Amino acid sequence: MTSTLSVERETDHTIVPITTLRTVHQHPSGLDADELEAFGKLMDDLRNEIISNRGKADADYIHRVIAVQRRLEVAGRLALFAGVFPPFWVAGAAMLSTAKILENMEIGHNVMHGQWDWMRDPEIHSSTWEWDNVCPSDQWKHSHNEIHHTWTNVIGRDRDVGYGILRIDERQPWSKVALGQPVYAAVLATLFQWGVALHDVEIEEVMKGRKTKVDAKAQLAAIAKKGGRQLLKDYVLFPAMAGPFFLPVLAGNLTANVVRNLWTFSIIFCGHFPDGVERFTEEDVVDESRGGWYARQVLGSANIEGSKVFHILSGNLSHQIEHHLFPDLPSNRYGELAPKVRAICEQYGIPYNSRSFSRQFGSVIRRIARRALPG
Amino acid sequence: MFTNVLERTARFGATLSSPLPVDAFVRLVDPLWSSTVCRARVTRIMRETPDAASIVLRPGRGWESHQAGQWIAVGVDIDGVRHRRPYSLTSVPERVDGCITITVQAVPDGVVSNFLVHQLQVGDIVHLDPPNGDFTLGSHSSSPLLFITGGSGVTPVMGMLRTLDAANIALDAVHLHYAASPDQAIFADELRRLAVRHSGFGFKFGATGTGPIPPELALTTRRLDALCPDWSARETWICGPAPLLAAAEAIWESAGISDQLHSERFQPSLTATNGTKAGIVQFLDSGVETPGDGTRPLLELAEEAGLSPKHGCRMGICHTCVVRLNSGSVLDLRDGRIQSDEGDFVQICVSAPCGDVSLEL
Ligand SMILES: Cc1cc2nc3c(=O)[nH]c(=O)nc-3n(C[C@H](O)[C@H](O)[C@H](O)COP(=O)(O)OP(=O)(O)OC[C@H]3O[C@@H](n4cnc5c(N)ncnc54)[C@H](O)[C@@H]3O)c2cc1C
Ligand code: FES
Repeated sequence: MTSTLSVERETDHTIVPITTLRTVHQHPSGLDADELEAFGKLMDDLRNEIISNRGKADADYIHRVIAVQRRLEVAGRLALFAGVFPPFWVAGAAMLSTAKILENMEIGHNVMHGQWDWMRDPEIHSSTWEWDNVCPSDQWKHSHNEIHHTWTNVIGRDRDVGYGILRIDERQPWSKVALGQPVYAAVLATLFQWGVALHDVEIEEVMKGRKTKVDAKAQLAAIAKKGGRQLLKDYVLFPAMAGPFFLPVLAGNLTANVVRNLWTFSIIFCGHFPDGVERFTEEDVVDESRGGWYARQVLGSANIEGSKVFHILSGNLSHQIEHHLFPDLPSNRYGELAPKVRAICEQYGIPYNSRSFSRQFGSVIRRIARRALPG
Repeated sequence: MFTNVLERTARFGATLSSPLPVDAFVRLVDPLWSSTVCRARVTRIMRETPDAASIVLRPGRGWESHQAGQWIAVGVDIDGVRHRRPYSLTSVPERVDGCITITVQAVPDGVVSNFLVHQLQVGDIVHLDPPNGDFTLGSHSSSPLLFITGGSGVTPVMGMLRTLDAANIALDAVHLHYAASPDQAIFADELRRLAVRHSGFGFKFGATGTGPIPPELALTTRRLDALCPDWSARETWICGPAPLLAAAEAIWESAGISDQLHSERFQPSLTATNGTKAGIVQFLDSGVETPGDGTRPLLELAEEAGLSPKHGCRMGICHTCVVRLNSGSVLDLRDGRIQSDEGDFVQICVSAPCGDVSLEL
């Protein structure tokens, strides 16, 4: 019974209505309730182990990353002031790009997940962190932490599936608009921080009448306020401080923002949309148990293999599976969790998707191109 | 005009550093330069007894001067986690070197006190909140005084005596100090020397041992009459263990002079148990839920759930920790009072949830 169902699931979701077949809800992992419970228990054990031994070494880690990030930012901006000399410009833009990437990925994203709340340091806390991004932190915490992480890859629920503008699953309806999606993807990648900010406003929900215009307007006002400050800082004040060297500083800041956008887009898309990552229907998650939720996180994410520096620059979202399983554990511990999670998944026959950056990225590009066409 | 320029510069700096505060970068150079949070560097640690130490701190920008007898909340990171506890200042206000001192007695199993006494190093950075508390001499500096202290309760009184001494005020004071044993008595030598220099200062020490207080040492009217015959004519400051305070309060009360007794507690007596009820606590602003067994203060529950609510004394005196109640009831652990109106302000350090509650925190 189980195997027939899972075969059905893999071949085609649209032809046979899944709900009619699943009298008892069949979890997309193919595991039964007992197996899911045991799987969930093992995941809980991994989580508890980290919670019981997190301490000074972890605190030292995040303090170090923050100190390095801030120094890089200061050094990068200083070097850009001397940006008329090409080596300074290149070094400055590289340092500032790295600083922005570190801030958004390893620091901001993870702090806002509450990964460091246990330190009870009011300056490194999910309730106070404002990241170097036009998307206001409180909006991000709602759309990302609450919606995306709860409804991971559930079509119609998780608004991060294709970010509302890309068709990435054959079950999403096709229209001619989709033909342009390789271009939309390129634009989204370049302007990713704006895409993320506007994405949170949920324009489509307003049009469907499920969200009030007043709420959306308030959100837009907050984005305009924060975005305006970000633009002022990067494109007016810092360049102006350089006086006659206005342009090199402006170009450096623009480069840093775009590099950060391309990088975050790539890491996030590689973690969610390469081949082998599953998407789910709302029926899949009816009455989902804790174990079921854990299993869905594994099926719905993919890891990217790489060096230690690569992991840090990706905010350890290269360990996307571990991040989705344990979004509030300190990111520096995902690396040690990964082999343990993988072994447990293998034991339970849950596919664990982990490949190099180039393979994941290639498959994401192919998917975006393929789904531009019907089917 | 000048402040205008300063303000503009500050605003300009804040835009440049945004979304982080300017401090985030300033502290890279020196953590003491912060203008929004007050930090201090440990400059010296002096052992007072086998398990007590005085810690000299150099506060950074933002430090306000204190009055003798006041306390500060000190925040330290222990195994990566921020802990804050109140400690009385033992130094003279506005010392020429700009430093302040606290004196800490390690209590058995005490997380912060043991860290401060045994692990803190010179050069470490600690976090400070502004001085607080009304256990001060006020206008009584030249009145006849009586001090009664037990154990580490000597600290605020030491601050007062050092301040009077430094101001060259001719002391008219008696000090009764209790500790478990002579080598556990913090500041005993300094107080004896002070008594030698000031003919108007009498210092009397009693070693109580570790068990229950021997009857001949217990604070009674008879004993007071023997040690300080004019005690009822003196303004009195007392700080020490709960039984000592309770005895003094009863004596001053029956003498009808309670207003002459000023007391400070280091530990709240959280004894109310009526109406204890387990439930779920919801911290609305942070979206966190945690179970409460009805006996532990909301502040502790919140901290264990990873929040860091603002607080100072942790024992219901400073009101730094008040939070609005949204629904449900809370029990004041000091006196069993129940608060259950929406919008009530709750001192979370001494209030336990009584069934399900939600708080704007
Ligand atoms: C206004 C104020 C001023 C204070 N000033 C000083 C000071 O100058 N010097 C000083 O050493 N302490 C002072 N304290 C006490 C101090 O704030 C801490 O409560 C104390 O150091 C214990 O903290 P801990 O983290 O080590 O113990 P915790 O880990 O919080 O508690 C561990 C155990 O110790 C018990 N305990 C807590 N406090 C005491 C205590 N005072 N005596 C005996 N047992 C206790 C607890 O009930 C618990 O069982 C002051 C407290 C207040 C409210
Ligand atoms: S912390 Fe001082 S009253 Fe609660």
